[in-house]
Amino acid sequence: MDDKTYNTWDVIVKILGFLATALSIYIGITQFSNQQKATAELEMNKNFWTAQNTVYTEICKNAGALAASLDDPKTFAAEKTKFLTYYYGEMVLVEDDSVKQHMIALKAYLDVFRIKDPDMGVILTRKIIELSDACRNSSITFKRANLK
Amino acid sequence: MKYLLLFICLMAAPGARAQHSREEMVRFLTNGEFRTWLYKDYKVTLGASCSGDGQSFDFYKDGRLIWKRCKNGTPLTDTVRWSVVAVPGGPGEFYVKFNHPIEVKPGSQFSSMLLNLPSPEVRTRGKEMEWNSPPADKGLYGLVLNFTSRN
Repeated sequence: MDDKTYNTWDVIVKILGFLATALSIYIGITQFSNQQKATAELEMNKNFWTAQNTVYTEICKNAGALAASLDDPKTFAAEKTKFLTYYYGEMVLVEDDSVKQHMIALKAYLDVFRIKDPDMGVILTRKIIELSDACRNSSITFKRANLK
Repeated sequence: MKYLLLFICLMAAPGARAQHSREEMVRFLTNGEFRTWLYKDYKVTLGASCSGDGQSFDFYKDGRLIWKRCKNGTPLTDTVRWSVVAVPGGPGEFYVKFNHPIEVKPGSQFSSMLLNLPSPEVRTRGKEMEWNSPPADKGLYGLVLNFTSRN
C-alpha cells in the first residue's frame, strides 16, 4: 500500500468513525427525548386522571346528596345549585362523552322534577346512580387507555 | 322468617316503589276517554274567532289528538295520531310520540317528547303536565313545555 492509498483509507475510516459517533449521539438524544416525552405525557395523564377522579368524586357526592335530600326541599335546592355549578364548570374539564350525556339527562330531569312526587324521586335516584356508574366507568377506561 | 324480613326491607326501600305503567300514563293523559290540556292561554269565543297565545290539545283514548291554536284570531285545528312509548332502559319514563311534527314554541318542531305527569290524577282540572326534551349538548337549551288540564 503506497502512502496515497493509505491516506485515503485513513480519511475514510476517520469519516466513518465520526459518522458512527454522530449517529450514536443522535440516536441517544432521540431516545432520551422520546423517553422524556413519554414520561411527561404519562405524568400529564396521571395528573389529569387524579383531577378527573377528584371532580367525579365531588359530583357523585353532590348527586348522592340530591337523592338523600328528597324530603328536605331547602337542602335539595342548595344541592341543585351546586350540581349546576359543576355542570357548567369543573365537569366540562374532565368528563367524557358518556358522563356528559348522563349529566345532560340528569339536568334535563331536574328541570321538570317535582320534589313532592315520589315516583319522580325514584326516577331521579336511578339517574343519579347511572351518573355515578358512568363516572366510575370513565375513570377505569381512562386509566386502562392512558396509564400503562 | 329471614326471607320475610328481606321482603319487607326490599318493599320499604325507595327503589321498590312501583312505577306507573304505560297504561296508567295513557289513562292520566286521557282521563280514560279524553282530556284537554292547555299550553298557555287559548280561548275560543262565540262564532269562529279565538284569542290567546296558547294552544289546546285534546287527547282521545283511541289515539287521536285534536291540536288547536289561534292564528290572527282564527282557530287552526289539526288531527294528529299520538302514542305513549316507554323509554328504553328507563323504567317509569315515557315518550309521547306523534305521527306529525308539532310546533308549540316558534321554531321548535318535534315528533316526540318525554312525558312527565307529576302526582297525576284523572278528571281533575288544573293538573300539570310537562313535556321535555334534553338538549343535544351542554351549550344548548332543552325544551320544556308546561300544560294544565281543563278536565
